[in-house]
Amino acid sequence: MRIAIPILLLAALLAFAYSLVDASNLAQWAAEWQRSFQNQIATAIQGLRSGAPGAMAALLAAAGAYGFVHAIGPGHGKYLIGGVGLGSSVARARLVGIAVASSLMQALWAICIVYGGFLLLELSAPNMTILAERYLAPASYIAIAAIGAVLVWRGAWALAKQLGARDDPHGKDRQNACGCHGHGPSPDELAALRSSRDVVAMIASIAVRPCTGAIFLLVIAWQLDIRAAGALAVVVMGLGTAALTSLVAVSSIAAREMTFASAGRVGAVSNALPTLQVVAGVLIFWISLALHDVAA
Amino acid sequence: MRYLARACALTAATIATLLAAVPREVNAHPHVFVDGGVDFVLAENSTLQALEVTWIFDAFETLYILAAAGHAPTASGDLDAAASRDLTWQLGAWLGDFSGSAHLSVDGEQTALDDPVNLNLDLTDGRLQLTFTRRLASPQDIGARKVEVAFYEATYFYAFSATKPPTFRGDGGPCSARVNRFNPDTQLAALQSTLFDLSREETPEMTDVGALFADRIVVKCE
Repeated sequence: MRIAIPILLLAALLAFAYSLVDASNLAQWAAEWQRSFQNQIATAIQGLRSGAPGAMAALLAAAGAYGFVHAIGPGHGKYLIGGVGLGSSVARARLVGIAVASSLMQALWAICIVYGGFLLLELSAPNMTILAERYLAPASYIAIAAIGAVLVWRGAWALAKQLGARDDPHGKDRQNACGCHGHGPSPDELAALRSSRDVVAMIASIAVRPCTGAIFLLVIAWQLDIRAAGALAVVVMGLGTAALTSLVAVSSIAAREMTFASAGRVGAVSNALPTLQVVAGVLIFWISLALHDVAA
Repeated sequence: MRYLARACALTAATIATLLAAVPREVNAHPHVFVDGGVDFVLAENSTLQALEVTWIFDAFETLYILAAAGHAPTASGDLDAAASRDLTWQLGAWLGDFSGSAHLSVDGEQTALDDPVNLNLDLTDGRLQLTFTRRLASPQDIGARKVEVAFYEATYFYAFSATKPPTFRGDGGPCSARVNRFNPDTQLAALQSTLFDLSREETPEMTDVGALFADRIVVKCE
């Protein structure tokens, strides 16, 4: 039961913090800043066209800030990154790397779609936003849900294996005999993101959905013939998004470490991590499909 | 029992953390911000005949609308004749399908409005300004009745703000109008209860989520 106490305290703390951050006020705040930065982008673009000094720096600054506040809204893989941070033993640097890579890939994918669409396919701007919102956003939700399902499967497998070992009085001897660690699944088994395949799947599931703000900016840049500046601004926008998703990554791992700080001392980690992984996987799966329904 | 308690505690911790990372559905943030307002066309005897609606797009949205239609502002920041003609036509066609930013109610009952007519488009200070008229399907005497126009778009993809003071065209007589801006502090309780319904009832309630954030223009004739 000792493990339950710090975990319950953490849950209470998180629930309390969550209740303090009022969602509607946060949305209002984010929307107002988003509007402000959008208009700064517009002013900077007009400045670029008229050759105003400092317009390029103003464009990049506003785009980066826009990326950060825009990412507070739906999308951008926050719950996937948060869930994986909490429910696997992924290293902090690796998860931050995934967050940054996802945002940058999202930016590059938006550039490919808009500039490629105009150049090669002669798509119209509305077709691009339809592609992003009607097809790629659901594709992203489904891909993220699939990752959630994989997490559930892996967690359940590890849990079953461990419970089986506990019921089997010879299990420990057998494990020791084969050179395995005796306290349940090894870190290698649980560090779900050790393989590059896992990392690529995560990045692709987030990046497949380009940010609509980036698409709008690129359409404007193409039409006003400031294409290099537009592409650079979208990459900086991606860095702004990465700053927010990295915060989610660091916070989720901090929450997991707090949970296990005392659990480790009583040797309960081996049990707790697969359980967390199952729960995180179920929630990632469920939330992805719920968001998919909202978007559909 | 010990494992069960631990599993429950872990579940609670995970749910709390993930919820913190997940935006609530209502945060489906607006993508387009539109300022503007509503003027009232009255005939004698306080008969409301039409609403004149003004939309003023943000500078960023203005650039996007122009670029998406293959146009750009002139060097002096105006619309050339071709762009003006083309965009007025496009916006007019689109408005026919748009659920409308002006939701009129008389004594609490929704009142039908005809499709937009008399479209006019300008580019002022880098912002597109669109005005159009929506006639009432059947004009109504609004004397001593409660008249309200909620200025919003149902899905909250467009965030409308009633920034323009309402006026009367024709004989306003004893009527006056004022804007009640959306106030997140005083309307928070209602918002939270609706949020609760949203997560439980899903789509039907979501279809009018924009109404939660609506500025409202109230008319009184006394």
